[in-house]
Amino acid sequence: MDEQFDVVIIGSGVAGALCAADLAQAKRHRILILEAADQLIDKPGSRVQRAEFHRVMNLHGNRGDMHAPFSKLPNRNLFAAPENASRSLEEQQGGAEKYYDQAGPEPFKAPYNRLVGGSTWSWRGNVPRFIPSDFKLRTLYGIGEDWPITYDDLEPWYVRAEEELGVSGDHAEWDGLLGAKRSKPFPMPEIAFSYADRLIRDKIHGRKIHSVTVQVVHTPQARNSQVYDGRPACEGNHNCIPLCPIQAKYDATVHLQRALADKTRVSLRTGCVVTKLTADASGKITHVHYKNWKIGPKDKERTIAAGLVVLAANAIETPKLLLLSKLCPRSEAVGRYLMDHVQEEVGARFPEPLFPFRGPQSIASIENFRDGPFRKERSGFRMTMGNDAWGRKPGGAPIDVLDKLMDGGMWGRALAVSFADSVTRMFRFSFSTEQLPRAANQVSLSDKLDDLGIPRPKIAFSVDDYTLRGLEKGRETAIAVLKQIPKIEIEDDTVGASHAVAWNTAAHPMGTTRMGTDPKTSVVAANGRVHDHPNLFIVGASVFTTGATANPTLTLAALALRSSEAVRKQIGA
Amino acid sequence: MQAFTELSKLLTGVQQLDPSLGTYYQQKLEEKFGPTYLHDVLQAFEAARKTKKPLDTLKAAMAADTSQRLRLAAKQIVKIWYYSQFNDPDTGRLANAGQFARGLAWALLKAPPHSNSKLEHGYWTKKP
Repeated sequence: MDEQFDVVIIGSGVAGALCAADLAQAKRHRILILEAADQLIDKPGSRVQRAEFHRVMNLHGNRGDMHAPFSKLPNRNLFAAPENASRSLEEQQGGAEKYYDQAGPEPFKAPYNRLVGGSTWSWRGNVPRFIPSDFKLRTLYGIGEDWPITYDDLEPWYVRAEEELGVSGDHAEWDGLLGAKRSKPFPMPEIAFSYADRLIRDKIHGRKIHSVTVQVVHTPQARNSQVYDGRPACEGNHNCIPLCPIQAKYDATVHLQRALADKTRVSLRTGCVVTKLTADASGKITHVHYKNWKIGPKDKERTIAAGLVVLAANAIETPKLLLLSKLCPRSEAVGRYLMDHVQEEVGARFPEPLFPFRGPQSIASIENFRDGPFRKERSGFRMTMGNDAWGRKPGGAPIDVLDKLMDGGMWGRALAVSFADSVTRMFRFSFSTEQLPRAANQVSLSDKLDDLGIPRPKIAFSVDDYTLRGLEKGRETAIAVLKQIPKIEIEDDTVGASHAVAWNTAAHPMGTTRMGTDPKTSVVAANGRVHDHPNLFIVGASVFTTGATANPTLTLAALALRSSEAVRKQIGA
Repeated sequence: MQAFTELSKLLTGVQQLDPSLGTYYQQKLEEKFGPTYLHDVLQAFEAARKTKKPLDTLKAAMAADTSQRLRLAAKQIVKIWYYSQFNDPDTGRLANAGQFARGLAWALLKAPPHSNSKLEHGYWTKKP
């Protein structure tokens, strides 16, 4: 007889972990979390696994690599993780580590972490909310889609998500910004601006650019500005991506630990890749099938009977599993409407030293260009100020500065002085745009298999003119803002046709099992329940109807908590 | 091994270098690039240090070296001291020499090494 669980949660990232912790509170149901990765779970107050990640990063990793700390995990050797996604298609060709089957025309560059706790290990921790108009693009601007919920529907869940994650922010700055009212203050005060932020802010705050008043605000962050939830305040390790050494930055193991505290009812099974869900004639999911790669690539498929399933496997793996299982017969949307945030950066040198690399990697942002009537024609964008010199700009790392100085014949004391002078004045503005949901951008099943014999995800993707126009405007705006600073040196101030767009990924896959009222054009209802399967819920950014310009984590956390309440009502928790 | 550290001081512009770290870095580079990788640049250094302006002499030797071996080796030496990184000889990508926190860059930039803060919350609000 198959093992039986009341709830099976597939995926232990932030969405799955929040649901697990929420559902475990009732202390009534047997809950199993299945996770493809395998690693030690630190007990509360312990940092054994974290210290090991830190050690690996120090000894083996390239410090610019978001996957460096996790590079020695056994699942990395057994089957490929999507880490090379951010490289160009040409670089990926023939690579043994290739996981996405890129159908083009453009590469889908967003990677994710296959880890217990998911991508929250290596995320930056920025958690702005969506704004009201993000939920009503069709009604307001005649493009995209409307969500089946409004900002006001989600607002109480945003409050709860901020409490669960532990968010630092300035309530006065954010209450009502772009129409987004806040019913409660942030759980913690804002992370204070760095010395660099303040110098820049002094020059640009309050200036009018393209008829819009620039306001430099504190980015809301899932990073402690004081001791919170038993975790320390940020010590400015400036290592947010890829790893916070002290867990001042939230990661989903916080909620996994909370769920697993109930040892009699909640269990986590790692190294388990779900291969299929099966449903009965009514559409009710009855069984979850998986392979345990820790046993070996030839492991037989194992089966669990499930009362209810929560699918929390991110916007790539979630639709892939639905497709493998041949579920959602009425929907034409499974795997479709894939979105990311595509972004660019403008680097500059301030006339005096700013001293980057002190404190979190990014603390300040400019939100004023996210919304407006222009969204009928082009995407909005969200700007962030880097506290990390030129961030991930290709060729902009300090070691690249060193290279250029040496190539110019500089050595010795002159090299040291020039290096310090050059790098301490560097900073960047990034601007992150919105993609509209397009059916052609999709995840489907490749005929290429991974090491467990499971089809890899095939990804068709392109960035259209709506977003490219947004990128162009973002660049133009960033440069116009920079030019407010006397004696600023902008690394490249070309705009328009003379600038070759080189967008990068924000690593935010979204949209592939989207929320809506029509079972044909969407996959889940407003509460996250799959239209065609009464005991299947989906949580995570795959349910997003639109992508907006804000980082997705707080919104997906709010939605996950909202869906978890619906699950609780359904199972009588 | 002492010559490598002395050469490193000349190239990096930093005089306070740990000789044991120098030994480690020399071994690391020779392990990765081959036992004779540093031979030419060390020889050029030995000749340069006997002159009145060793750095200028070494720079002239690098400029005259059409093979570029001196300059390329010198660049790896600087990078390994500044960031404990070097370019992998097979792929060209940056590789880790494992002593990131001891890089020279941090004192020059007045920033703690990434993930090695040991400072109090909010230190970043002040000019260093």
